[in-house]
Amino acid sequence: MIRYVSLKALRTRRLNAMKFKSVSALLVVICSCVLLTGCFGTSAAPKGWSGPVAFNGSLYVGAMSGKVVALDDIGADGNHYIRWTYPDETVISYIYSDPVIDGENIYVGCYNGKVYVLEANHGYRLWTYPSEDYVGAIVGSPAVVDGTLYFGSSDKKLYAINTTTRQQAWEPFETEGKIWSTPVVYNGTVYVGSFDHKMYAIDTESGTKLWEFSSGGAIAGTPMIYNDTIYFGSLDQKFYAVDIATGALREGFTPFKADNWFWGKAVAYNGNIIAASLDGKLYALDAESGSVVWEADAGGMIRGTPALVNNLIIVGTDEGSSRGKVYCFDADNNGQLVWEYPPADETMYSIQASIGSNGSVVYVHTTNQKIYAIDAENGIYLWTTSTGGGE
Amino acid sequence: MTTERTKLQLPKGMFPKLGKKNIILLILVAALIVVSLTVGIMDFWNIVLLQPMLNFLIVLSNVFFHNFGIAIIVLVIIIRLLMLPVSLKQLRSTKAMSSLQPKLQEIQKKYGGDKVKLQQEMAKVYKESGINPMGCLWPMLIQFPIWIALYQSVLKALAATPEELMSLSDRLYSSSYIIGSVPLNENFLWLNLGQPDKYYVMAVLVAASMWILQKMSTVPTSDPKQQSMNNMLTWMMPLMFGFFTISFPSGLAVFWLVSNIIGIIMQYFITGWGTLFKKAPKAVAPAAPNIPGTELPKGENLKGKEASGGVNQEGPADGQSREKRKDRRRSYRAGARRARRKS
Repeated sequence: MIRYVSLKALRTRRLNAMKFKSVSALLVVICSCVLLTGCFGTSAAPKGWSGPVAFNGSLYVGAMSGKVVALDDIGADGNHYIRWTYPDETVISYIYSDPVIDGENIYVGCYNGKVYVLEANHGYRLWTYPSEDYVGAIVGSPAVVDGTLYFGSSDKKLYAINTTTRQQAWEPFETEGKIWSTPVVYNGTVYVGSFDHKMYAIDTESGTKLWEFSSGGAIAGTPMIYNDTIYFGSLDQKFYAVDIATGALREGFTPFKADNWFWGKAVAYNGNIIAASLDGKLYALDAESGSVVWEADAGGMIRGTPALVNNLIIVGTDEGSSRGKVYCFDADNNGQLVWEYPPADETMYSIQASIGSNGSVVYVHTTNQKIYAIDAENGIYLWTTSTGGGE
Repeated sequence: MTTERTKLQLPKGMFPKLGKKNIILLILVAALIVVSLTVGIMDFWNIVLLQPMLNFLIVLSNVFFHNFGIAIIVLVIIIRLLMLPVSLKQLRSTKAMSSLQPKLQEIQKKYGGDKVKLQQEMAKVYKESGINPMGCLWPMLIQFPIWIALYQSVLKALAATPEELMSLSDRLYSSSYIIGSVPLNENFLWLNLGQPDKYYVMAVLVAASMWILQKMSTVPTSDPKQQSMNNMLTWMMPLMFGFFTISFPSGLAVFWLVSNIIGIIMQYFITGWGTLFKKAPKAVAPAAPNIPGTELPKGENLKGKEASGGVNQEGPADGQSREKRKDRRRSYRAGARRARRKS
């Protein structure tokens, strides 16, 4: 039987089919855009790289899940457990700052532009600065000395806050670049580096500038003070030594140039300054002249600050493709490799955070949100724990 | 004893003749594939496209008073100038396609029901007018990776987060002129180039410029399917990019805006304002196919619009035939006048 359909109805059906196809095509366009955004969008999403800090048998870290976590029983026996997390249910923000412990309080700077002050035993919030508003994103760690909290921010300012009154000790010191460097306080002066290429010395009492030193690049790393000299690396690939009294380049010291940026804080050992660079090398420089005493190759970018355990220097690397490794070098033996973790047949996620230590165990925060505890002497794996949400 | 040797003969036309250009293109594509497989596709992408563009962007920023906004604008202009021959080819091809629309429309009206015949006739028209319908595709494909690399280099140079800044270190050439200037100055006009524009001005500008460009570059068509697709793209693309502008660093918004403005200028010189100030031709539904089950009962005639296939007789093709009729009438009258004068 032949069924008759009017041409009008047929055309309506065809137009509807066309409309459906067009909508499908539109959906494909939208999905492609989303995919393209995913593929070509922000390649390195922020996660945070807070380094673990061991204090009085506990370990404090700003987790990549956006919480502050306190672990207990962090020794070699593997009985560790999470004592508290802050906040319980929600998250704060990305955390790049290492927690700073001052008495019973923990200070953590967050990427949302707030410093959180927590009670160390139970992890409840005591106060924040600013209490209501936000300053620029905080990447460096805060410093707490003599009842004053110092921190730099992406709004180009260095803040000094009285921890008792929770008010500004002086008007924020303004630079011409972001401050991602951790301030260091020494003998009544606070030293901080800025993205405007300068290292500043500021009087802790008045907040006035004592001197400034211009390097060839932005200063993102934390300065280190040794023998009345301030040592720091810069994004111009050079490592500098500046006299803390005059703010001039230390006499006899030739700035050392690596193959990539310096970001982490240097450590001093036996008359040498040991600095790690993003070129994957650890350089031991003579503190007086800046000449290379020895160098050790870790193979991947070293962003964080190395841990110094007796004569051992332990660094974490980011080798790209989300892979990393922990290396231990002997500072007494021209940087000879003592151990590396994991062994060749195992893999580990990349390490961008500074290495924490309690004197015998090193704590490594990897980008898959795990804390590894490794024996500092022999590199033996002790335990691992997730700080929340990682693989 | 004789052995019979048979020659293997391939049928004629099995392998099309390759022109010089195509051979060079094939060799280039083969070389690209071999190199990218050897060094890895991502490494190849980074070394050949992304890193040179990124480093050049930083050099430009240094040259133009450490102003990253100006560097983005200059780089977009330079890339546009370098790709001008390819872009012009694409625009001209699109323009030629648009000039063929009346003819194609007529064919569609005529053979809408018979797809095979329709394809044949369309191919014939393309051949006669010497236009390759895929002619605008190649230039577009060549430009695509360059635009993605430019987009990526702007995004990476901005290094808005600490992780991005860290990963940037791996992509810079070891020249103190380049390395010393990172991170770049993010301030440009009222914008922080590393952050989305909080006043939404850029979102409006990007969306508006993209709408104008879309409107100008749309090829007028009477195919209802194509027309609805064009209409949707004209609105969806600006809306989408407006939305991206709200959520992405405003450095990218500057890149999109400048790129759109240059696109508008180029489009204006090739095709004029296009369909920006014109109404699109009314949709023409293809003629009804001769399908069993759609036969009309005996004695029933289609009248009026339906009898003519529901076609609205207004359109460029119809306009053209009207012009022809007018011309014919004019020449007839002139001939008559000449005959009268002679007599």
